[in-house]
Amino acid sequence: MKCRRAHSLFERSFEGTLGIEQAFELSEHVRECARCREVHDAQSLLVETLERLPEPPVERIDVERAVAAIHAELDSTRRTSSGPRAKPWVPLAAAAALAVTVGFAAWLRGRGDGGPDPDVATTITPAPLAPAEPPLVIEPVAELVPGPSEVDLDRLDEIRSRVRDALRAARPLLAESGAASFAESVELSVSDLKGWPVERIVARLTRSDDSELALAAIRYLGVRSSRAVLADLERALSRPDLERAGVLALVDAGDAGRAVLARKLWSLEHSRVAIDHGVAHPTELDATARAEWIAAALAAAPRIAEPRALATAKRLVFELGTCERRGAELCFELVDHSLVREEDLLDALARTREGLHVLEEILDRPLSQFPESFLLRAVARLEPPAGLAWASARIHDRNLSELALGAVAAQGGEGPLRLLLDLHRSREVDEPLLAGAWGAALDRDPERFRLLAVAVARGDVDRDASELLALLVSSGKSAAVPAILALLSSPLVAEDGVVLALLAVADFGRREDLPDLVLLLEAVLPENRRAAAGCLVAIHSIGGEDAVSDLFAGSETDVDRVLSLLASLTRGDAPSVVLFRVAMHLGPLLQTKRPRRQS
Amino acid sequence: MGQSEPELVAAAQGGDREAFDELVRANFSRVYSIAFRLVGNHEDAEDLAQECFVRAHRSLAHFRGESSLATWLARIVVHQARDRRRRELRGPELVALERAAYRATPSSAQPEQVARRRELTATVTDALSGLPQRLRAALVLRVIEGLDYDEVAEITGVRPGTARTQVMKARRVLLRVLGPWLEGSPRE
Ligand SMILES: [Zn+2]
Repeated sequence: MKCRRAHSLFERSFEGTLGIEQAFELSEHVRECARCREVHDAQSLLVETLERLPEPPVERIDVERAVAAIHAELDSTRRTSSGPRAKPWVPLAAAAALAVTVGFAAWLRGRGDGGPDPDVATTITPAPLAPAEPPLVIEPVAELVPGPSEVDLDRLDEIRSRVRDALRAARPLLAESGAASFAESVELSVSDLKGWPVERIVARLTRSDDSELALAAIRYLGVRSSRAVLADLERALSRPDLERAGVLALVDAGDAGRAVLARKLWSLEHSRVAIDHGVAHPTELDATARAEWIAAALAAAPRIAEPRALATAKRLVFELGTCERRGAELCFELVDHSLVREEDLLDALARTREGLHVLEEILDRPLSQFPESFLLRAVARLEPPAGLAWASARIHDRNLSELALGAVAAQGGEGPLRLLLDLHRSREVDEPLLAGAWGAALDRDPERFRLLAVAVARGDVDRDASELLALLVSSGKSAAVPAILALLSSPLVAEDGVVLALLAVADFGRREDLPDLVLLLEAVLPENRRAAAGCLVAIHSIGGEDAVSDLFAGSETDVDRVLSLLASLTRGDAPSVVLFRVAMHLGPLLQTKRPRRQS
Repeated sequence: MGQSEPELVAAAQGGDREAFDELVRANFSRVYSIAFRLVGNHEDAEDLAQECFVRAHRSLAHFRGESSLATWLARIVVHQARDRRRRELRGPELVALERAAYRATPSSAQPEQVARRRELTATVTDALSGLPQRLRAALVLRVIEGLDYDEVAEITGVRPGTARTQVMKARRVLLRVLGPWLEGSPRE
């Protein structure tokens, strides 16, 4: 990547609009390019500093005094001027009220609460310049682990080595039977040491240079956790050789431990480890607990889209897909999260088995707290039974129209097609938008178009055949051809439409359409020569000369037939454009045939 | 309790002073917060917030709910801050920036990170207060208040693209001020 591009990505990362892929791209470049690393460092520093700016001292506000002051000001100006125009304004009031509710709700959603949150600045990722993490509140050890009233210092060393041995001895159990039995085994070995601050001793061992010993100590504390040792576990996260053990221990340590982990996640050098073992950890954590853990982790996320934070958030969201119902609910709740891409949420949602149910429940409610645009994308992706009606009700909302049409197009069955047809007739929706939806629906499942066309051709469905034909033709899609041909055999289609449709088929038909075209040709040949000419053009255009030759293969007088066809066309009222194309296609054919006959 | 905000707006538009007071109570702290970010001290911020509601009351009949009430109030307060700045302006922007640059030289006598951090924050605060008002408003609304560009644009009365450019310019100015801090800053 060029530095110039890196700089433009910096700007986007600063404004929080950097996509995941670009974030990775940027991080790659920054690792290699010292100059850009400097810019990057400067920017991080700036962002962190901006986020740490002191919060406005809202506690100094005296609202009642302000209200009084405002009154005084209003009254004083009223005396000197004509006064405020307090004209009742009835008709627009309702609209205003609605807009205010919506806007205000959106604002509340964005803010999380009604005012500036004094905690925001302190829950952000620790800055590179930050001092050591503030330790958790640690209750005095004595309260938790009652020791002997008079510590026998001579014995303390002995006790320590007992603890050390117990940890080492039980260590293999960690891999073999899990953290719980490992801890149980340690417990058993030191059960005669009641009254000694065993936990404290283990806690000190977490700092040992002996990785194996420190690791065992950490895992033991994770299982036998008290708040007192969380700080020790947290400290372990900063040691590369203990990071994994620290993560596992914090997960074992229950809610408090997972809360620490959620916060640390964003500053860990290898947050992947934390996620792998914190979220996808095969312990007793059930789907709901993992979902809550992910929610807690994302709530503790930094606000600025740094590449690593983006990657971490993406991974967390991915895991939501495995968190069943709660995971699905969170997919909606996280829509406004600045580090989370909608696309990733939709992916995760589609992977949860409960996504459909949750979506339907949301659609059932008269008022939703979630953005409609997101719900529409979810409808398009998940296709709940109620989705079609819900999406169709939003088509006339100017801001949602395109999304709603997309959601309709994504629904299965014929229902969406009839709806799109009706919209086409009513002309209430922008033509290009409608055409886009029509094309998307075609791509999704062309067979239902053919079925609809057959039904319309037979008059079984009350829809205008010519209109359906026009829509199918204007899609310009090969997938539309079977439906087009099904319609063309119908007497309900206007003759002009037939010829134009066949010219379109000539443009984008495929070889597999040839049999249908031949059938159509045979059906229309006696009465409708213009249509027959159109068929011939299409057959020649798709299958070449061979296909046309095959048509006349069994006939002695093939050239005669073609000639008479052409003659009738010239006599008749075929549009000149059709004649021209027929001549273009069939002229060479006739020339190659004629000599054979003359000989 | 009682009435909802939309009802209050409608009532206030009908001349109900009590209803208007409720709206003030509900929105004052947010308006104040934005004002504080723009002017940097409590007294002026409180002043501006009060002025904002006075002006809002006078124009209440013009509020059609095309934007949210919150956005509308924010727009008023941003304009006021700008007007006030214009009135007071006697070249303090440059002065403040120079002061910021001066303070930006990290003093080696304070090696502790806490102190360094505090000083850095002060530097940025200073630099922020030295930014031209329109850049500052855009930056505050976008980066600190977390609004999107459309909202920023709506509040500051420019096009979204312009709001974006303004945020970028503000960022460049601030980055320049931060320059001296980067040398020797610990890299992880
Ligand atoms: Zn570079």
